[in-house]
Amino acid sequence: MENEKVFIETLLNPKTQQAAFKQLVFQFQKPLYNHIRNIVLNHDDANDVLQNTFIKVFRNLPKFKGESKLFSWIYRIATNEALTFLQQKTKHHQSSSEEYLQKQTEKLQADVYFEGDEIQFKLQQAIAQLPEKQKLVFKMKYFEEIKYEDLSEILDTSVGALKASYHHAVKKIEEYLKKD
Amino acid sequence: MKSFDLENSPKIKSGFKVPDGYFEEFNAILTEQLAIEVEPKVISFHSRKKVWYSAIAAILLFAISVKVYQNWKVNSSPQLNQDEIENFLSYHPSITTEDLITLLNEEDILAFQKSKTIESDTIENYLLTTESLEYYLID
Repeated sequence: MENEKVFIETLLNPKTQQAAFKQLVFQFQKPLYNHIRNIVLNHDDANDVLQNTFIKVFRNLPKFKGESKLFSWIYRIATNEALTFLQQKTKHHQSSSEEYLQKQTEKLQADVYFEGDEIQFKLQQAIAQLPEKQKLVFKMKYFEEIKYEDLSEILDTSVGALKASYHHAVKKIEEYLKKD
Repeated sequence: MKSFDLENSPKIKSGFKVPDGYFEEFNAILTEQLAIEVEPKVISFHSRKKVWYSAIAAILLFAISVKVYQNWKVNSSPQLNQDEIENFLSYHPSITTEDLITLLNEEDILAFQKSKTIESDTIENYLLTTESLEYYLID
């Protein structure tokens, strides 16, 4: 916590800001890419959203008050960016977010940047059936292994509600996977 | 139908792959974009000139408006009150009652009659103290 405080100070100091931000990008680029990719599914889209996320983080650094962890704040920005991106896409395609993601999931088998086997593809299909909130909670908990307390800060939802969402999502996915 | 326990089965990975060298390339692109963010914005001389012209025009317009307003105020504001008029007439004996009568029209006289009600005692006193009364009565 003390280390984070010092790191935030270096991020806010104009003299040390550039070097500190490079360090922040290095530290967060891979987990954030995975987080965004899990939401938008396509590599090119994930790349665009990741760039926008880091630029937004950079622009809003002076507004960061340290009320939440730096990690949660950055993840919140990334999640919002990814969800906004999906909203824009669904508006453009005149479909619901569920329909759009189901179509994107079906395209995964032909995607050169998806190397999933049959069960991995089936899991993606099962996730695509879930309501938006359950989808998000499941991906962040199951693939990214984020703690409930951190999830609560990122998604601004109580731990109890998150546990319930995850439990329902797991049940639905298990049902879907045992069909064959 | 076979059962499936997601929590106790070996973890299924997402299956997503990242292109080779993606993060190195990403870093380079992001650094370029951030350099644009940090670079101070250049304000062209012409756009600054425009601002100056607008400011001067606004000041001139304001100055003219103030002048016009002051002139209008001077012309329209001072209204003479009744006492001032009375004092003026009292201390300028060259203005006779006849002069004043010539300036009044019928409407003014009627209005004057309506606004000034004279008590009968006042009329009687006036007739008794006025010497030229007989002259008027004969007439």
